[in-house]
Amino acid sequence: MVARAGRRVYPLGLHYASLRNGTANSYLLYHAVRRSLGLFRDGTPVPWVSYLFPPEILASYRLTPLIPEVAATTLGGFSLVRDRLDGAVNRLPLSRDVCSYHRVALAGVQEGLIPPPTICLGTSPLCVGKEMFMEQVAADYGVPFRHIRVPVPPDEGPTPDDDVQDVAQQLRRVHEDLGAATGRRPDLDRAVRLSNRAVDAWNRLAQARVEGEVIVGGREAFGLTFLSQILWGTEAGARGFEKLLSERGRSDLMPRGFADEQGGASRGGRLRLRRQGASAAEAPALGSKARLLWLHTVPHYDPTLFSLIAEGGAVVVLEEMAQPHADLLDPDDPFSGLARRLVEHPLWGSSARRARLVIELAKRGRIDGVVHFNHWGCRHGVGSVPVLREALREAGIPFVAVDGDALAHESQEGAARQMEAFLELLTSAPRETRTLTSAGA
Amino acid sequence: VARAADLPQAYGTGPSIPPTICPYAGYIARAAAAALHEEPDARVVVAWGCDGMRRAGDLLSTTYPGRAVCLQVPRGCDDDSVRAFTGSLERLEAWLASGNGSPFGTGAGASADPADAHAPAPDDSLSPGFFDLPAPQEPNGLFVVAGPLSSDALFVFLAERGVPVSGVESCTGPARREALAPLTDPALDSERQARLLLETIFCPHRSRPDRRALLEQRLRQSEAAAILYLRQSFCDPGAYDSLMVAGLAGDIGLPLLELETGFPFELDGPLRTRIEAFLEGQALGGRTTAGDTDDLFLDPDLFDL
Repeated sequence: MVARAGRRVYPLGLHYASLRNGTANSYLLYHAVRRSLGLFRDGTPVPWVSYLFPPEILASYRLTPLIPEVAATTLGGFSLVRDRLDGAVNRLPLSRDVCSYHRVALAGVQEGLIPPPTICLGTSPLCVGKEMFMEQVAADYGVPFRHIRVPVPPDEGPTPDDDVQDVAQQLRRVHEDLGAATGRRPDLDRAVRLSNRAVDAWNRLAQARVEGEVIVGGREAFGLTFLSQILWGTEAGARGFEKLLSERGRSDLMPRGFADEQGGASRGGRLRLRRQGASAAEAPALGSKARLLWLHTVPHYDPTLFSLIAEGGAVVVLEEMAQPHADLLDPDDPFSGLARRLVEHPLWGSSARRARLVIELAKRGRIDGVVHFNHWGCRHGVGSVPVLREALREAGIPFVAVDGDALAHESQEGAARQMEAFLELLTSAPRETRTLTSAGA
Repeated sequence: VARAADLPQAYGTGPSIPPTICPYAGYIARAAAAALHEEPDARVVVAWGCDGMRRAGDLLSTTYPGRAVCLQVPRGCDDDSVRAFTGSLERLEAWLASGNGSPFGTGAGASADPADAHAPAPDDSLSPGFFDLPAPQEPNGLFVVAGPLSSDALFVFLAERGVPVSGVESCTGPARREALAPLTDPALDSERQARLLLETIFCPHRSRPDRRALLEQRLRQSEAAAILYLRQSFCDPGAYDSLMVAGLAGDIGLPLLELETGFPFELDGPLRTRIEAFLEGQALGGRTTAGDTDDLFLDPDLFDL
């Protein structure tokens, strides 16, 4: 009864907040939470999907995806259930060296805190561990598991069309099968149209961020795109991302500490906008702040690293994970576009490809330093660090890899010391001499 | 594998992957780096089904461009997976024949005609890395499911205690060598090679229903009395596979002991104690604990400090 009442009251609170401040962040949060809570209703299809599974395919049937990584993060943020969840995680008969997103999601569903799946839909990207996890959950609940086999893109240049079409065909089949499984009529045209609106808005903002015209905090942008993965292809998703194009709509995405420097409040502070038409070189710099690029996931609950960054005279202006939805989908051939987006995700492919994309992004965004968050249990992310480190060293871009757990609540002291040393390096040396790579692991 | 196990120090300063990645992948990377370093004509293919091996392959291909490549291995052995893997093998074969570029990138090797490739000469190169059991397999014994094992130490240990082994499921075990033997047939075309490889992957990364069916069949056929699961540390497929095997053991009524191991495999004191206690509990083995205790006191190594 209490849980049911909570599920009604919580979204009402979010709705009020989104109406009150009118920001994209609160609007998307409200709709993502409201739809996710709808998954608890009896008889509602609950598709558990890989983080990169194209949400438009689900939106075509008005299905809300349950992304285990997002569900685990959201759930862990509720203090009311934290002890119960921690206990369930500790009781899992699963190795502790496995990714904590997946361990928490598995514990959450077993504890009844996350709705169980009616189908599990995986993709090869980003990791094999997640596919193993999804298949485990599917087996536990006796539901189908469908896997989209995705080839690795070449290190340079576009993916061969045959590879893209192979993936497109698999997506097409899954889309058809979802219709048969749910008995719903598809409307992929609508989902594609709404997805393109969101992508267009996000691309415009992303371009402005890279050019230095608009400052949006990396942690905040990561959180926004992470959660709103649920909403791509929906009306709420399109509206939410379009809100980012107004100053008011993005006013709570300021990087911490930046607004303070400008004399504003850290929430709702003013944005710093370059005047239209000015070149990137003329763009007002972030004062004395060093511009950082954040790679991989973020510590969701522990603010220590970002506080240190703010206090250490730096700001995260770009992040790797929020770059994926680059191209608009062709309404006449959406599956090819969805497939190419999947194959060519920045974190899929070889470490050398990832390093090349990171260096390109760092150069375009006039980045002073790159931070990689070594999330506990993530083999593909952490495993690419040696190649990344070497490539960034050759490119003369300072780099640090900090160890941590994205879902840890407590402060991670080792990571904090690594970050402090890195920030000292960045802020004590003139920009042109900051070529030392990696103060960390 | 044997070579990798001998090289922990000599190549410790070469390319290395982080410690939270599967140690087996780390050893493979070091061994391959040693081969590439010592033999200028050597080339390495890293077949990966997990993220640890994928990143080990990345490290090698970046460190030794044009001489090391990664080969993605699908999880399933359905027709689509076989078709995709056949294409990869053909591109790989062309690369081996042409000698430059990258088979899966934009290099010259990618466009070479697979028909021009030379079939690899059959040899006994499948032998290194596999081990034989010291005693024949018997029913009513222990069935061992493991990741890569660097030696037969466990099986010698079991044989010394008179514990029968009913079967071994490991990528370095004798059953896999037998299953892969037909690969040396030069008449085998790429598609049949691909199918054979995907059907004989003794690796927990493979699709769960396939893996479960295979294990259930092997457990029933071998008439095993108990299962010992040696789970490789920092191995995601192994972590979930052990859950599956635990469920399977429960379903068919076999006792199970799961232990975490590293690579190289070290049969250290705690591991021996756990295994002995399990064997004793299942009444497996012909020797008593008292006998082991006598051995312990008589073991001169105990006093060799």
